[in-house]
Amino acid sequence: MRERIITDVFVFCLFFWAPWWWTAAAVIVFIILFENYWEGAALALIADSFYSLPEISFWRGFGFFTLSSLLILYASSFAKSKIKIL
Amino acid sequence: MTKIYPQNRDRFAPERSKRKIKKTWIFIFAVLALLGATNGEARNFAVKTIVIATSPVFNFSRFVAEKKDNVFFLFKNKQSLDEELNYLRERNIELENEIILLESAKKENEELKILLSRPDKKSYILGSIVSRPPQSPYDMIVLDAGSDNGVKQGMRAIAYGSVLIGHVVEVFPYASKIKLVSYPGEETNLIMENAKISAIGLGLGGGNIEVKIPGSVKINSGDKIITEGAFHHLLGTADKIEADALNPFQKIIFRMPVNLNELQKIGLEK
Repeated sequence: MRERIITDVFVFCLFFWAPWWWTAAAVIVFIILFENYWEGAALALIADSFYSLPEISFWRGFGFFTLSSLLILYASSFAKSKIKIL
Repeated sequence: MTKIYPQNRDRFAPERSKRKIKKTWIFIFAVLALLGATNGEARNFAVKTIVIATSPVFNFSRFVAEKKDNVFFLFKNKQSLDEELNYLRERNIELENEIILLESAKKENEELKILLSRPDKKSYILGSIVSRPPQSPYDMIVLDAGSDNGVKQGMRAIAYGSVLIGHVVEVFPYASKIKLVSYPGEETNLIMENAKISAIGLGLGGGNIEVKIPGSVKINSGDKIITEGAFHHLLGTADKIEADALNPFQKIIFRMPVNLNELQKIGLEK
């Protein structure tokens, strides 16, 4: 639990001060390492809200980061249940 | 015959319920995201709520970043500060000379605008940058000034009083989003000052803008590029010129003339 809190603080610091690709990479890594890393999806939702445009476009519109993080979350848990490594 | 004990039968029950909870959460998040992606009103509601709720954290992060810069400045070594000071002194003399030339042009410009009944009195709403590239994934800036400060959608964002960097695309009570002129696919009407030709600048992302003009027009690297309209703003200077004898058009790529990492405040033209 302690590791998870430290990780959350680290990811939130990255979100506010580091380039976005650092945050994206960290979230992907932590989704793989931790079980049910919902903080990643929450952060993606915040990123979508702050950086999406009112135009309806999937790539730059609302939902791209949230849906991508959910997809990674689901794929990672599915892969974990099959290979039983992590 | 194998006997199945009740405790064995229920062994996977907690796992199943855990998986069910997870699926429910994924479903809720996905529905929210899809609703926001396809429905404008749902998106606006979600974005407004999240931006209002998280704005104080963003403002705090900006405050911490400023303090961090101040602390790091104390530890800069003396030699690099000396070099920087000398460079700035030389640059100051250069700029002072330029100002002398510009003053007369400015005076003439003002007189002409008064003659044409277009007084050059512009007022701005000043905002501090909360988030900028590369923290933001696209060429977009979040400012701490919003509708409560009088910011309206479509206002032009000006840096250093003369450089157009973008326009306001979304406004919240305490924050606003600025789409930069270099945002991918963003079109800006511009004039190549020396060649006196107007064209459309197409944003490429990463602070770059591309212009296509006829190959017969003579353009040099360093030529000023300004906005169209009665009040010109600087957009940049021609940087990379790609001309091909087989192509009737030449491509000019230029960058925004401001360093977004150093920029602290932006003026929104009223």
